[in-house]
Amino acid sequence: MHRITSIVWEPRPWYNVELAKDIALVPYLLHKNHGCEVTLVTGPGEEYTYLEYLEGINFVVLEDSSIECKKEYIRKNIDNIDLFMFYGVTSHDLLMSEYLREIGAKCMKTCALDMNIEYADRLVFYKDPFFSYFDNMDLMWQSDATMTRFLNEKWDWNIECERNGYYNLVKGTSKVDYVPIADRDNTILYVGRIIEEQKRIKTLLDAFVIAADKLPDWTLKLIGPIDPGFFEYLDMFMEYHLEIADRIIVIDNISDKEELHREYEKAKIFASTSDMEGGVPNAMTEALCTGCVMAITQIESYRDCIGNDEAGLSAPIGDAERFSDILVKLCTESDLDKMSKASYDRGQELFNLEKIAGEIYGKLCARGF
Amino acid sequence: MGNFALEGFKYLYKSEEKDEVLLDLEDWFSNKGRVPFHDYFDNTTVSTLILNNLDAHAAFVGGDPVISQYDICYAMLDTMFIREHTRSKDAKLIIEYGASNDYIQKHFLNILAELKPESEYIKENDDRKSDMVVLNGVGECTDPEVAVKNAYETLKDGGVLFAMCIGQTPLKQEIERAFPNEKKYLLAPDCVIWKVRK
Repeated sequence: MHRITSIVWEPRPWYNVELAKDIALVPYLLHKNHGCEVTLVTGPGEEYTYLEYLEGINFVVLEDSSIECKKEYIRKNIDNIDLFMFYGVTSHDLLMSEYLREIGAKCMKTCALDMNIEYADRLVFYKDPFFSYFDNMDLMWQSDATMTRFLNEKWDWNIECERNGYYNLVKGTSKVDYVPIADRDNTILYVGRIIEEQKRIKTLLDAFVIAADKLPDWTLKLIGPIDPGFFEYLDMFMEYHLEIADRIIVIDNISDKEELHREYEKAKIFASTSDMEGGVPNAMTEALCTGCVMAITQIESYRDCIGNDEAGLSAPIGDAERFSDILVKLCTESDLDKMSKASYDRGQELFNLEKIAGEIYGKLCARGF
Repeated sequence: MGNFALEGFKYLYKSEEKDEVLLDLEDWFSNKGRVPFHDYFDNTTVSTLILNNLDAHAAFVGGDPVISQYDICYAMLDTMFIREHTRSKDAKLIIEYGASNDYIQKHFLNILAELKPESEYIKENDDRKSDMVVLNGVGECTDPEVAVKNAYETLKDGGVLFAMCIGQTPLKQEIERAFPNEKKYLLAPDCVIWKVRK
């Protein structure tokens, strides 16, 4: 049996929410569908409520989240590790990788990159410790096609494309039943942190204000943890736009995955005005897999999401007016059901996490796993 | 006559005709080279390469008072040179013709050391086709006609020729005769830069 270990890559414990993301789900699916023995290692953290869905994996809680503690764990367990999975390029990733080299570890190593173009440009990949880190990997993948192509043009290492995918943790499957557009509400849904930095929620709100007159039957629904610094802005915004305030619903996070999933299934449109993302964000993969039509900004992975506009439309980053244009266009689109089906099909084809984990397993085996 | 300027994140050649973007530091996807456009880890960036060469310019030209006043022209030539090297990760063969001094060579080698150390910069043609040629017109060229002819013949299709001339020299006249329709970048009354794509 192949034994896989992944240790939290930051000087902090895993967050519970991360157990529902590809970083934990890929190793879990390698266990569930391919019989690998998987160990996830963290420092002491919050209550891990999602752990109950990751049946069969070993979850080890160290004394603390320091690099010393992680090295000690590696030292004691290295003979039981066939594959070490890294995520990104963090300080602890670099130190753990260097330590593996130091102790002459024979295990295979993989790195899931979740890069955006700005980070990829700034990363001094040709100098240590980065060069050795990447050079030491047996398999690396990036989570969207555009950045994969770019990295392969820029770097000498081969980078595979393995997208972030969707997996329904509660039901234990990546398969989703399609809800026809006629059975959905006139809702434009956003799911993610409600914050200005990176997510550019002000642009989304402004775009909805501009479009509101033309979309009298539509509601904007924002779901996610609200940044404390954003409450005041939201209050001011609602007060200033009283005429549409009842059509903007803000929900401070839904931790029940099934309840959240139903929100996707009820919405016709999924909107995101992010100015940067690493690969395709999890919220977008779930939106695609449930058949939401996408209204998104032109982040690196936008073509992965909407293809040639068959699954949605895009607007330039930070342009509320252009974003309002695509909202109006989509909300009044007579072929919205066709676009919704295209979005769903795209989700099933490209963002099925079980399929993606299977591809990763295949690539590992081809490299001697 | 135009100016060389950095505005926002764009290096520009500004002239009466129109402004031309020589290097756009926000065109992230164009940077296939090793050196970042922007700093994140306190490392070298393409801008520090340009600035370092500007600082070292006097040393490069050996205190030649006539040449040392053209530092801004060199900075622009460096910028155009850097842009070419950010378009792909591949090493390049660069061959220089023209004047025998190493003023331009020193600028470019300094850049290549960071940007693409695997590249080769030679002054003797050894019958290989080059990705880039440099026509050094900062000084006397003994046989301009041969220099321009060889430079162009050596260049691969799709390769680029850079030329910089100071003063009304026979090499300048020969370049103007050989490339009458190519754009000239004028930064000083007597300093001209050419960039010719084959």
